[in-house]
Amino acid sequence: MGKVLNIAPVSRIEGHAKIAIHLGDDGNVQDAFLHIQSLRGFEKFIEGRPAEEVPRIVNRICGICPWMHHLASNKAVDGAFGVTPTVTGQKLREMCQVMAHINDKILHFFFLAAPDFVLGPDADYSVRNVIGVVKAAPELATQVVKMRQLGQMMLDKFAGKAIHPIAGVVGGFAKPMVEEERKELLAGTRTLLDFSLYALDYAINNVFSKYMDVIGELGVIKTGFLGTVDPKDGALRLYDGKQRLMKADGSYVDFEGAEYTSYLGEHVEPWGYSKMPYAKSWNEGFDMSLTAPRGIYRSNTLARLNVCDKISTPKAQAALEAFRSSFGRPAQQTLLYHYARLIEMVYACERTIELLEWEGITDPKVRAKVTPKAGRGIGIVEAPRGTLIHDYTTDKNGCITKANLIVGTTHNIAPMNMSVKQAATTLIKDGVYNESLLNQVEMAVRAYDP
Amino acid sequence: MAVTTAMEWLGSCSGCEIAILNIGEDLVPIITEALEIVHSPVLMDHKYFGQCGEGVTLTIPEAVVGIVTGGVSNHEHLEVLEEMREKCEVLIALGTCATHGGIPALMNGQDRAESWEGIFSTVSTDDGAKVPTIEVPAPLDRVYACDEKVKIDLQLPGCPPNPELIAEVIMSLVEGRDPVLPGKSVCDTCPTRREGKGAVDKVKRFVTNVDFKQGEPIDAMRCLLEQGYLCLGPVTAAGCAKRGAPACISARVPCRGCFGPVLKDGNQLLDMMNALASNGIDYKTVVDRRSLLRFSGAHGKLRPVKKRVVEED
Amino acid sequence: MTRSDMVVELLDDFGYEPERFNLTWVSSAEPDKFVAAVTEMTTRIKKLGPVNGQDAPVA
Repeated sequence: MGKVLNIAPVSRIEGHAKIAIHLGDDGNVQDAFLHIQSLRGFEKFIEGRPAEEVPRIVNRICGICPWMHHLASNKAVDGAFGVTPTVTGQKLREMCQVMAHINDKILHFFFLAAPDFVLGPDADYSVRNVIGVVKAAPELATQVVKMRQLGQMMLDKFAGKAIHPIAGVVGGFAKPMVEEERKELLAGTRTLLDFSLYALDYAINNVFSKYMDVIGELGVIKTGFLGTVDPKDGALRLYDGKQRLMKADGSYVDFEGAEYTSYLGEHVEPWGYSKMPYAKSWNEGFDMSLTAPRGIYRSNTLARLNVCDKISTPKAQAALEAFRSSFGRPAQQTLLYHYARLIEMVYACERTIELLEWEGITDPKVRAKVTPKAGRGIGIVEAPRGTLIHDYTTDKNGCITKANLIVGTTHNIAPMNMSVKQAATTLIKDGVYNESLLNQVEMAVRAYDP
Repeated sequence: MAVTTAMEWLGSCSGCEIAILNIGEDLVPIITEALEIVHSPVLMDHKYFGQCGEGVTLTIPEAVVGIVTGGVSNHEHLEVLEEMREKCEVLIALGTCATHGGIPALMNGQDRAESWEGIFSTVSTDDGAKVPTIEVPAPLDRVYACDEKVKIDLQLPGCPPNPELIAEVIMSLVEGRDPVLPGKSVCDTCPTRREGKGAVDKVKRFVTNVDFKQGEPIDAMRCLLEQGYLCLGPVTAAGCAKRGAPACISARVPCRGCFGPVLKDGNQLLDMMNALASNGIDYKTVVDRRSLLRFSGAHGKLRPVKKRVVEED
Repeated sequence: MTRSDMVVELLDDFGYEPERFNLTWVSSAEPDKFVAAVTEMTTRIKKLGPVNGQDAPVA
């Protein structure tokens, strides 16, 4: 007798989703879906708003990555108003962005993902969570909590708010940095860099080496990748750069973000509220078939590491080289997202230090002159979850008339569906399923940090 | 004896949950000793339909304390909220979305159905896309605050709420005492210099940075309203101030009212217009007045603008 | 700028027809004018009909 297993809510993710696994009469998986349950409508209700107000409205799209929306939005308004921010303004924005990446990654790996690895995927669900991690590994947990709090409070103190920021403004930044702030932030970031190197080392020895067979199998699919790179040397970039769209065979094309509509389309299925971006420019359409996917690419940490030629900071580059010697380029195994996330955390710390050590960071010229006007601007940054695109059109009063958003995590909606189907089909056979196997299906989703 | 706690998130963004984590090291004894968390999708794996997904009725375990974030905008939110009310002795609405509608309630100012059609026909969306309806919760007619649908025992607004206040409220429940909460407006927690409004008779858009000297403390800066900017401090509940000044003011940016109105059913648009009129400031210079309700658009306050129908007499 | 100018525009903000508000100056020596003003307003409101309340009572 066929049945449907409704795993709801999908837990330890940022968002509202359920997994539906359809079993046939033979007890094998016929189909599996990740149904995204929420839709709020930011693209529409920012219409009519003065564009310079929008960066502090769209930051509320997400409470974990609000800086990403805040800055992509500021860039889009810059574009619409025809403003070039001052150099210091841009660097202050980037500093806040990469610092936010650090905190985000500590949160995801240790608070959301680690329970599956530290306690094991078949631990009882009542302990398989951050509280269980605190009880099983108190020293590690205390350190993790302290480090995340350090990172959050540094951002909070300098920029006024870490969650739902307001310090990025059209034309640059709302306030300059003073020398005492710079010193404090540098000291704090150096502590975070030490921690991120320790975290990477811990994970390589205690997680990735232990779970190599799971990494080789769970949720593994074959797709292209999307990320952002430096236009001159192809190095990993999070704030500014060219977008690089790579196929599964490793070949790629670089494009200017302003032309995104020529490369990316958004597919809609009737069974989930989130749209599914796909590579329109490959001219192969859209298909989530596991054996012959079409138009499918992934974003987020693994994608960014795959598309970049190198990382411009030394410790992260060394880690990337070690990663590539084990897994090649592009690496496809889904659970490697966790490994890539920790390498990126090292880069984010090193990049923050680079920016803080730049001699112009305390310059008082933080905001260029701004005059609201009609125009169109496209602002893009790499959010932790993927390439984030804010596209705004304004009228002569500088109010929004039209907006289009492609949110970083949505590039992975189709791939997550594929990983869920792959995981469910591999793990559940002949009607045999249990809580631990179903949690492993969820682990295939959690790797994407949606 | 640990206090059983259930946490849920409705039309939310997870900012309130991150604010809880930003309590910092003090959170560790709270979640490991003071509280026993029995349901919390963001942190742990308790499921609605049984751990293997075979059930048909959405179920949340009983708990002494319930914390709910996010506003109510679809049928699943409503079902989850009602189940939380049923199973929890004390239900707390955390964050401005839960208490006043929050940013997502900006949708109340538009025609929802028309807006949703628009979302599925943006420039990059494939042609012919339709609004999804399968295995997704149907929307309600508008975005509601939690207390419009169930009785709420404690309201703690903020976007995000102040972690110190969250900790205070949790501990007051555990210790069986009244919480100590701020009750006045943002201005009461703002140390900026007031000299009287002077020659200001209109409001300017925030397209230039406010006037202050780099490195000088906040109390040396002139009040932003007196500088001619629109600042919603007078009509917003206090609570955001950490380190001696309201959060946005400390970044030299005007307040936009994210803690909701000073009194529970205050009207931030009306009250601000009143304040401007009392000071002889031309209200017409406020661009997009309706977005003054951007954090408090529930409770019927934000509605679509009536389309004019011209009648023959 | 007077509050009564503002009221008319604010009613529109809240989704009410601005025609529901009117300010007329009448002296006690102008009874006909008073009657006309009240009659006109009553007719106007009746034509507009009841306010379509969206307010949900607090649970």
